[in-house]
Amino acid sequence: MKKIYAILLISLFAVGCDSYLDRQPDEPKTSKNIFEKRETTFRYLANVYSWTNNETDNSGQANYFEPASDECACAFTGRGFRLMNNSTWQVSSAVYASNTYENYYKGIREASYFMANVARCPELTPAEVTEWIAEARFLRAYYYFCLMRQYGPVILLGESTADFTDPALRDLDRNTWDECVDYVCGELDAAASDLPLEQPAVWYGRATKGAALAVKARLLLYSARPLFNGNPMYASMKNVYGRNLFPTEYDPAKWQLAADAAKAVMDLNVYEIVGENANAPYDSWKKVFIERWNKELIFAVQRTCYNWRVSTIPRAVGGRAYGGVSVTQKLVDAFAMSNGRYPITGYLSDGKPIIDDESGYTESGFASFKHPILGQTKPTFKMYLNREPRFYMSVYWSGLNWIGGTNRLDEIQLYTGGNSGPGIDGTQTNYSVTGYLPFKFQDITLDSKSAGSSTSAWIAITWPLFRYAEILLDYANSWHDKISNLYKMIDGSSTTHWEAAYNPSKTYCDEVLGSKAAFHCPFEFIWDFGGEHPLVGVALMRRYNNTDLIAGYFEVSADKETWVKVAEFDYITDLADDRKNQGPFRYDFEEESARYMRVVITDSSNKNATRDTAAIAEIYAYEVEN
Amino acid sequence: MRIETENDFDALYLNCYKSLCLYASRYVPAEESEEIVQDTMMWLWENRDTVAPEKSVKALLFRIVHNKCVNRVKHNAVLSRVHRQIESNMRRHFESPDFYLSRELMQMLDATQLATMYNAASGREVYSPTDIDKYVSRVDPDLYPNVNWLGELYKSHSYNEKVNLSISGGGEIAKYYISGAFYNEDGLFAVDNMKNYDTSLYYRRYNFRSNVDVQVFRHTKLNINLATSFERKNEPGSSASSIWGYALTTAPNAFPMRYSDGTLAGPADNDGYSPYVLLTQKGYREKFWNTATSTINLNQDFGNWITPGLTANLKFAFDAMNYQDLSRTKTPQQFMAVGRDEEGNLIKNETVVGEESLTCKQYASSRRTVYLEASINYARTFGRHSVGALFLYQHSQKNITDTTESDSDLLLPYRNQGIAGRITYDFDNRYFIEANFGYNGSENFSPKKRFGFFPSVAVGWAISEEKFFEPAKDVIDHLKFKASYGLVGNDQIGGNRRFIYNETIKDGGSYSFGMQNTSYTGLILGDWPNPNVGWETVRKLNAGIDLSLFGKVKIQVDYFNEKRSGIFLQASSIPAIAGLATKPWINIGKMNNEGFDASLEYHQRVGEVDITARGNFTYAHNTIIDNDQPDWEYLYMNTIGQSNWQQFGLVSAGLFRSQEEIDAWPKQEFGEVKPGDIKYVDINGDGVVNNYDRKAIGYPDVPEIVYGFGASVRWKGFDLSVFFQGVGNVNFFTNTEQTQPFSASKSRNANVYSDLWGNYWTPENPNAKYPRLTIGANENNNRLSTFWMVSGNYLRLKNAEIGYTLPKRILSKAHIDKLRIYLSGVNLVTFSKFKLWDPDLQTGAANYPNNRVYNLGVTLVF
Repeated sequence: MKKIYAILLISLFAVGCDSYLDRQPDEPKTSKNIFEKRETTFRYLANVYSWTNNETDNSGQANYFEPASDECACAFTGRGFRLMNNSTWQVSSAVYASNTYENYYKGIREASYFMANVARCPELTPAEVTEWIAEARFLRAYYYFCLMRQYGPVILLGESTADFTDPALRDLDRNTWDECVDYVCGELDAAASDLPLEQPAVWYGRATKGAALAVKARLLLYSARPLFNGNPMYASMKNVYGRNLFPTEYDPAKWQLAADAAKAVMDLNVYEIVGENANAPYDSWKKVFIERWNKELIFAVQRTCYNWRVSTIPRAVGGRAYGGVSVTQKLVDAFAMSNGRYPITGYLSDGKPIIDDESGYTESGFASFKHPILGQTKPTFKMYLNREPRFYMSVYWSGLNWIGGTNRLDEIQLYTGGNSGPGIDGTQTNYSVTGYLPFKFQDITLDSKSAGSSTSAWIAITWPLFRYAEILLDYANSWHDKISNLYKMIDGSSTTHWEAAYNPSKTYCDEVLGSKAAFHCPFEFIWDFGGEHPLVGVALMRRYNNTDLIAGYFEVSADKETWVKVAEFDYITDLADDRKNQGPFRYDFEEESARYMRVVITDSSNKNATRDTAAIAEIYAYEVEN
Repeated sequence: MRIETENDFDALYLNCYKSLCLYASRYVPAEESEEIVQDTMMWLWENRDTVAPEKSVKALLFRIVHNKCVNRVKHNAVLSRVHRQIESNMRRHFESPDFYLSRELMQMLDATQLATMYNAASGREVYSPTDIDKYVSRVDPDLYPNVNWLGELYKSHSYNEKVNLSISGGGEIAKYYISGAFYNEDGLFAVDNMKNYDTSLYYRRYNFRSNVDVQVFRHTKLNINLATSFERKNEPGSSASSIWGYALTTAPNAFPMRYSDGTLAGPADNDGYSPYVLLTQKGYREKFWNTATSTINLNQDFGNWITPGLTANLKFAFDAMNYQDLSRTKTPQQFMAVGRDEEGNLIKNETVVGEESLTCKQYASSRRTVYLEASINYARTFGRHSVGALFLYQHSQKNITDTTESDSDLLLPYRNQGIAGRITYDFDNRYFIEANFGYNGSENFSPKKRFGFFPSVAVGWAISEEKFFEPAKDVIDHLKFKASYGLVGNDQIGGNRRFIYNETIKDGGSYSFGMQNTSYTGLILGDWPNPNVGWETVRKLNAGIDLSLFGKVKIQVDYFNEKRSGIFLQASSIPAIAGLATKPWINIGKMNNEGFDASLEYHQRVGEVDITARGNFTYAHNTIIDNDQPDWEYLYMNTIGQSNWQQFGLVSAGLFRSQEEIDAWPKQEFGEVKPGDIKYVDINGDGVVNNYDRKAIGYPDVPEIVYGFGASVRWKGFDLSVFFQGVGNVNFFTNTEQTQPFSASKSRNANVYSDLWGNYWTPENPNAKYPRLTIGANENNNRLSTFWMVSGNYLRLKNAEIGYTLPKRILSKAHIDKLRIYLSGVNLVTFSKFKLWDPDLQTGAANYPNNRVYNLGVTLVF
């Protein structure tokens, strides 16, 4: 008996220790074998695509930026955007960290990893390998672009996936803005040369040449704008190694780069503007925003419209209609009239609008109105009459009917106590904050009441990340700014300033300048170019954080005798007296050949008995390029 | 928080696993504690959709683990009772039904109070006096409902029954014991009997057990123990927690249960749910478990063959459990009334389209375990020397299946293997020394890190047995000093991560391409292969004394100090730019835990009165030494150096009384601030109050002190016993939607604790207990801060029982062995400063409270 036990014990132990714990997954996916098959290799590429941010959520859950912006007010409490609105966000808040910063760097790592490994796949042709690498290269550049859009200059990691065990990783700091732009543009060019012009219908959504060039066009436009182009507010921003993160000097040549980049997209001859028929607004609107993969889309992400629709369909519709994301009055005011004039040109200090009488806009009274999309005729506020077609496609106001497939409601009320407005007894949390809801992306053929929680029932849309219409605007913008050579007329520095008079004493005025002499407006400043120049614009930059300078004008002359007034400014009306807005404020005019230019300052906010003070940081003149 | 994704779950797992284990290990042995915690986490994952959101999952987990531990302890007690019965003769045992006689629920505002407070909050007369009168008079319950949801949905009593039958017998060669048990329990839910299927909550269990001891040879004993159980649970179509949650939070004037025309009332999906519909109209769910356990034990005494005192034991166990879950659910059509037409007919809007038929869904899981253990034991005494030795080998394998589990790694067998040994020696019952070792292997680690060696030593000195101690022996009849030091290992890496030395490839995000909107699930590198990860180790130091005075009082005090190192954590210090989708797990965490256990027992007989008293006390405090988290800008925000469960928040300085006071105070950057709002201290002195002013506040939400004491007295046929239980050094937050009126995210969930009535801030009541009333969430006030923090300390009369056993001489004529009548109560009285809900539930009170239960029973033994 004892022998049996002893043998049993020993053999158990011997057998056990050898192999008992060696049980492992049976033929699992590994980093080696997933690149052996075409299917799994492509799924890795889908992973690289999947790090694009979900912009279809406008209710502040996944994408916090929409309800935090000026164009939107959101009824839903306790969501991330409140951090931003209340200025309580921190570096660790999801809005900063996980949803954007971390996610994009994850996307960048995945792209680099894919690019380093895809060539191992024996089932891909060399041409496919090249194209798939180009897709990943495009996505990596796009993720950098997204980071730069939010954070300005960022850390560039290059080709290899970062070795997370390397302590040197902690020593990296941000590259400069220009380095980032150069790197990303170079990558986009490289990707564009290997990407196809168009994808077949089954692969709509994958990167194309146009997508890469469109990202580049917008990035170069960002780079040309004064915000990142010689902005003195950023002049002192340096990384830990003492390098200036932003360019300190304004470089007008950047406009040329932006224009060329936009032109390159146009020259592809692939995209077109759809839905331009103003006589059929709903049809046009549907083509652009509801019809998937229309010809205007350059790069789009295909997602369910659930998030957008549940948060913008009025509550009374029922089901999952939460109707709590609302358009602000300011955005409503920004839509033009059908005659092309803008109804509101500004706001008084008490918030009342300044109405352009010639636009025909009025805020009082009612009139009968037939909605071009919803089709119902009923009296409505006159302020919604005779607006441009885009207005009716984009803004939904109180009192309209609702059509959602077969589910029709005669009247949606967005006022307090109304069927979709704030509850009079407070027992409502799903309501329009402003009395408006966005109408964009709504599909009046969709019965949302019965769509329930299945996201596919809410129908997918192709959310436009880059649209051809934007490229045309980019091009127009950049072209407008690129025609001139620039001259800095004072000392070329925006941080110093020229001042009209600096506190002369009464004695000095009386004794040196003669009795009752004083420094008063107007002041003038004349330049001689030493020869005639084809001038097309002037610009003025105020002294930083100083509002002494109020009003004046620019004149040019060929002979210093006859002056032609080319620009006028009044910063009280133009700027609502924003001290931090330094400019430059640019004024363009029809080409004038001139040798002389003068600026006349007619009013100052800093006046006393002996002097008026006005300060200018810099004056610019622009001429047509030879 | 809500468990929606695996990441949430991972984070929670990482966050809570260790702490739950530690917590559980106060009640049960370490291995069992881990098993309990794993079961709990698995339960959470399975039920992630039904666990009530917005409430503390952590608190819920601790609650479940606590309950499971208590059940386990009870279970063990039952087992030992069974073994005692084996030795006795054949018996039939019958126990009569028990009744739940009473219960205690939360006190909420009624519709009139709620309407009045709403008027105060909005500053205008939203509800006119006529409206409020209608709530009181209940003339129009369709438009002016006043429903006490908790009262309507929960019955005042429920019924359970227990029948236990056992037979045992046998002689010298073989002994047997067979038992069967039936248990039936009805829940406290009220049920709608209008359906032809059963939506009620009930639970039935059938147990069978047989135990046979056979003396195979003179020195060889065979024991076969087989048990099986069938459990069936019927539930409403919605989870009990969501029914409870909505019954607690739905406003009394939101809507009635049904309109007078018989249609169901309920809001649209976008605005909450009717608790009545959730309970009675959503169909039903049927759960079924069957469990079988079997153990075969062979014991051989080698005393005659080799040397006296040598025995060997071979044990084989096989357990299996199958679980089936079938739910048949639907959502019925519902309406909301909006007014009456000119003829007085109710105008209703259809809010939920609903379905007419039930939808069927099924889920199944199973588990089976094989365990093998072989050991050799030696114990012998030579004169004043006693020696003992043990050598043991064990391995086990657990296989699970689960219809919802897609991760193939998690469905592979779980294996475990090790050897252990012990040598003990004592001299004259005075000096004790013991050495232990464990040599364990873990499948989780690479072959070179697989086995860990964990030795320990213990020494003891019974000073009371020394000659020089004799003069004191009348007073101190026993005194022993003891100490031990050693290593313990842990291979559970958490995060559902197995085989840590292998990499994993996971499903990543998906992306849609093409005209047909085809979605492709991405593939992504998941976990990093890490061959260097090994055992987490704990260095344990224990020191204590055993003391007995006058033979009546026994005191035991133990101090413990544990230094845990190599805790598996996800590296936090890797910069975000590395872009790791999953941060690697490494042995990096360090934590200390120290405290003491004490127990006291007293026994005395005075005349015919027997008195026994018992008490126990545990204090434990842990400190995070390293968790790989970088320093915060303000060091007081660091979790390193704090307890593992330390809570962080703002420090409140009371309520603002005036606008001048607000203007003079540092700007609070959370939202609009008005008189009557909470004032916070600017901890870092930067002139503004924001999230950087949060510091460690209060004690953790897991009690550092747990104690209990009780006594029993017996006199002739009467017996009386009481047991108290208490916790200390614990804090929790009370800022729920039910203490902050009209802040609910779903407007129908506006019910408020009646404690708020008259206790909120107004200019006339500047020293109020609660802030000013607002409509909608108050971002300034709804912050974790000392304002909402309350002490969770409580002392509870957990159990009291009084019984009377009839004298034998009366019973013997009726052939009855024993007849005892008893009255007992559970959760009778709780002493706590916090009175809104059971402090044991902590934040949110989302769970069903501990019921006060009275049992009246009879025990009969033939």
